[in-house]
Amino acid sequence: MSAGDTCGAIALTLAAYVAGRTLRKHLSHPLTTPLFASTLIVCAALLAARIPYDAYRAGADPIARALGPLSAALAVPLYKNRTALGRRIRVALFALVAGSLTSICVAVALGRLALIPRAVLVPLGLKSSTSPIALELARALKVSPSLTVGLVVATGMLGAMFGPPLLDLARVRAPLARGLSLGTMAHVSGSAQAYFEGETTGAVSGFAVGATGLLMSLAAPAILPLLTHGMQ
Amino acid sequence: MRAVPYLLGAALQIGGVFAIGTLGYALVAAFRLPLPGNVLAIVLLYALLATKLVRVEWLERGATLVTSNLVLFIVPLAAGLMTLGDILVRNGVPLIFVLLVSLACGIVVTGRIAERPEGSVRA
Repeated sequence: MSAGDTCGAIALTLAAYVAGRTLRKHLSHPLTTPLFASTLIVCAALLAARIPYDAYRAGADPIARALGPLSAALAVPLYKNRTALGRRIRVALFALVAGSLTSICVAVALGRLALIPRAVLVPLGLKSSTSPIALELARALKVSPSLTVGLVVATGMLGAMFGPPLLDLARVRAPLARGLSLGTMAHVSGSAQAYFEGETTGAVSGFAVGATGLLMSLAAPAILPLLTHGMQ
Repeated sequence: MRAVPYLLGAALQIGGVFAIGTLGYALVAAFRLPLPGNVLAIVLLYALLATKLVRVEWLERGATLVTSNLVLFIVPLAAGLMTLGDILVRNGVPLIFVLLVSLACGIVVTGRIAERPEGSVRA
């Protein structure tokens, strides 16, 4: 691994990210999320230059390594939105736990029926946690971080797209309930969508993202191995 | 040239966040705690803010800059999906189906329970 490779990989990542954000400014659509666009650009560049992913990943390691320590910053939105739930905090936390567990149990049950292998089903169980936490859990549960991040991102995009109409259909109208649902199930992408609906919806969703991450970091290492026990 | 102190301040704040994050990982490693280092760091920073040992204004600008650009640090990992074409093709259809159904169930269950007015059994 030479210094040149590291500089090249970092430069490619930064350039792709800036391009992804610029695209977002001009064209706002769930498919133009900066992560999706930047990732496509990096992949296209690697394929075009015939650079193997592992070489790029080794070069870009300083960037990937910074994610863990920097994600401590998630405490700030959690703290600032701590009062958003007010007196409803108990029912909200109950809803958050029940919704998260329902989603995981449905995923594992259907995944088993569909014969999805364990290596794919565990990342699917981590899909609603925010990426920095999902990645740590993927490492602890020994599944692919890339697949986990892919499913987390897909969940965010789909949740932000279909969450609001689905909540309309289920006649969920209270800003608190809508924000909680979007933040719990679709992490930061759902939260960004919730802010479009209003300040309360957004604040509640911001709290829900952090709370779900904390819940999953305690629950996932215990329940996912149990639920996927005996699988290939 | 008001941008210079602004950027310097943000950089210092990001350094502070990074230091607390690193401390979280170090504590988890030292005491073999069964949770991710960044989760402990989040709890730690939250406790510092809640006890006002750290004022939220001291970190807010840097922390917001970090959280709104967190995606940058995920790109190198997300690009690894290009090596997983096989798995995605083989499990693609059931995978999307299971993801959509379980996501929809979670969204409806969370929303419906939280919507329920206080004191009543069913809305």
